[in-house]
Amino acid sequence: MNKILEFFAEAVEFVWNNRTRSLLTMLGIIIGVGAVIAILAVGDSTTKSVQNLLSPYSQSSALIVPKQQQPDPQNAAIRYQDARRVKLLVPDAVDVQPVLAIQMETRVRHTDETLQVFTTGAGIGFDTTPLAEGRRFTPDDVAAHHRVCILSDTARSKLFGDGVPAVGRAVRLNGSYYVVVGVQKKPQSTGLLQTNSGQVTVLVPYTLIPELGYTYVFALSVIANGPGDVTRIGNAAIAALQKIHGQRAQYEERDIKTLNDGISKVFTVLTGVIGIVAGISLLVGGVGIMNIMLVSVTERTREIGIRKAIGASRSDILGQFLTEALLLCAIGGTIGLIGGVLLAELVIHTFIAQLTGTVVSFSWLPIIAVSLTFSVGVGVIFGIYPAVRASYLNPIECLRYE
Amino acid sequence: MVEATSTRSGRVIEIEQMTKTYSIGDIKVPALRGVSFSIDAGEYVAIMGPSGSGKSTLMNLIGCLDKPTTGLYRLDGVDVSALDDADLAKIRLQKLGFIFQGFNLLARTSAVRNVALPLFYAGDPAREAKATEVLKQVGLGDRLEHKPQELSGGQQQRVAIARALVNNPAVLLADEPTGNLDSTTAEEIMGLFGRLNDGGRTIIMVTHDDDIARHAKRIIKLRDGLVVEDTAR
Repeated sequence: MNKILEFFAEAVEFVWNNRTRSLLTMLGIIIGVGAVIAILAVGDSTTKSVQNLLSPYSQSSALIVPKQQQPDPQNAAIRYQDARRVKLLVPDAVDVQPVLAIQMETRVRHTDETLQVFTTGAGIGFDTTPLAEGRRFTPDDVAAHHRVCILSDTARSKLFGDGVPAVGRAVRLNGSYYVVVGVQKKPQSTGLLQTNSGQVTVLVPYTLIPELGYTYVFALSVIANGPGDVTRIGNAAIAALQKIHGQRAQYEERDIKTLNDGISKVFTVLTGVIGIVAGISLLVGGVGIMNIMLVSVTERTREIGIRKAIGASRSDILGQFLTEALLLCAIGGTIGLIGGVLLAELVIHTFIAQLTGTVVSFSWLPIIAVSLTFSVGVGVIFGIYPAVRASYLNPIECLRYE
Repeated sequence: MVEATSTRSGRVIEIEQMTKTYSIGDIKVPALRGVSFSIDAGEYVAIMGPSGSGKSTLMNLIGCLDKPTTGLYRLDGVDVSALDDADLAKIRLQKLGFIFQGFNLLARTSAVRNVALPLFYAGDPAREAKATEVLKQVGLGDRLEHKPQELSGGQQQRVAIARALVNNPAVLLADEPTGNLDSTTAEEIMGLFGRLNDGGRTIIMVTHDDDIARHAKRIIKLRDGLVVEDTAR
């Protein structure tokens, strides 16, 4: 152990005494590790920020909507009462709620304002955006048809003013007043489904759909026990709807989890493929290290001879040169890590931020682990051959070498 | 360590019918053709001979840098003709001290660290202190941190001698130790060798220079791979 530290100290001295050459030697590793890190970090961040776009939506619920193209759209349209009947046919579902998504007009300070009206149930539903003030709907609100509503942050600004407390005030919809019980926080991301992308959104309990004057709804929201169960429950709900509307009626299931998984998969594959290309540059960097180490062994033939003559064993010489290669790779890997992280931050803060509207930092730990493993691995793989060659040199010939 | 009497006594080197044949392609070139002699502790031996006589080959074999083709070589009680590379490295480390014509110091390394190098391989934690001590004994106590190129030839050879002595070897092996030095400096180095031998150190020196060989107490002359003369003075 002591000897390893000594080898390390000697290697540090050698690398420092040959700074320029060491730096050039490391260049390949620096670029290789930097590229791998940058790609992994950007990939990780992009995946996360795309997933972030979906984060306001519950992964435990699925939306069942009629397909756009079908033989008899009139017949396939989902009715308000379908929710209760589907629930009876799919007892596994935590809840089945009709979803209305319409635009309504209201008058604010003598001008007409268009509102996006959505319906939801009690508690945290499909839209999980946290509340800035007030409360969500209670089961009592839903069951007793209370005329209450929850506003999006933008709706609050439009109707009552920026940051003005809105709970307790009322919004006039379809001739009736709805009391505001909650206001959502400003959404972190713009939202992929655009329901809360800064729109003037008003949520009302779904039991008020008939009172708003609607029989047909946009979709059924099917809530499962967890994300893993969503697809099954969703398909069961489709089967139930077909039992009600006939087999000719066609529906599709949209759930966030499937979308999320798909996006993750695409990004993982993309990151992997580009990462492999970057890995090849790391490999080339390793070959560079090996090349210089071989030159170094030749240059220091006499030194090797001296060391062997005064009693250095083969493993001593092997250790010395291997430590040097490892040190070069470790330093190169560290510089590459820093460079890669900086590059990644730059890309994330400019391009990715522009694309997704958010900045999500990547996970540090796996990235540091990957860069360390790679650079040390390259050091061992490409350092071992020159080191073994040095250790097998004949001391007599080395001492004769000029 | 320079003045101290070596604790070793009796036979240090026993060589019996040692041969060494080099193969260059299919051609076999005999360098040594059956050499026998022994050296006792405290002896001061010069090995002489014209070039091609086999004295360098003999030196490499005595120094455990090479293995004999046939024959027996016992160093300080150990039969080294049968050892593998790793054990030979250990023998070189523990029982031998090399001094070369070209000094062979590590160029970028200070005197004290050059001298400490064998102790580094031996894993001695007190090596810098011991190296300093030995450098003082060869008269270089004020040159500890100097690099080889900052020292004169004679001083460099003293550093090399200190390096050879630092592990208290059974035999000091010198290969043309004055070959790169002017005559005055050569005499100084020979004076140091004489004092070391007076202190009980066994010295084997290869040279072709009669003036240098004169300092030794026994001269073994080689020609064509055979001992032709072995005289004590």
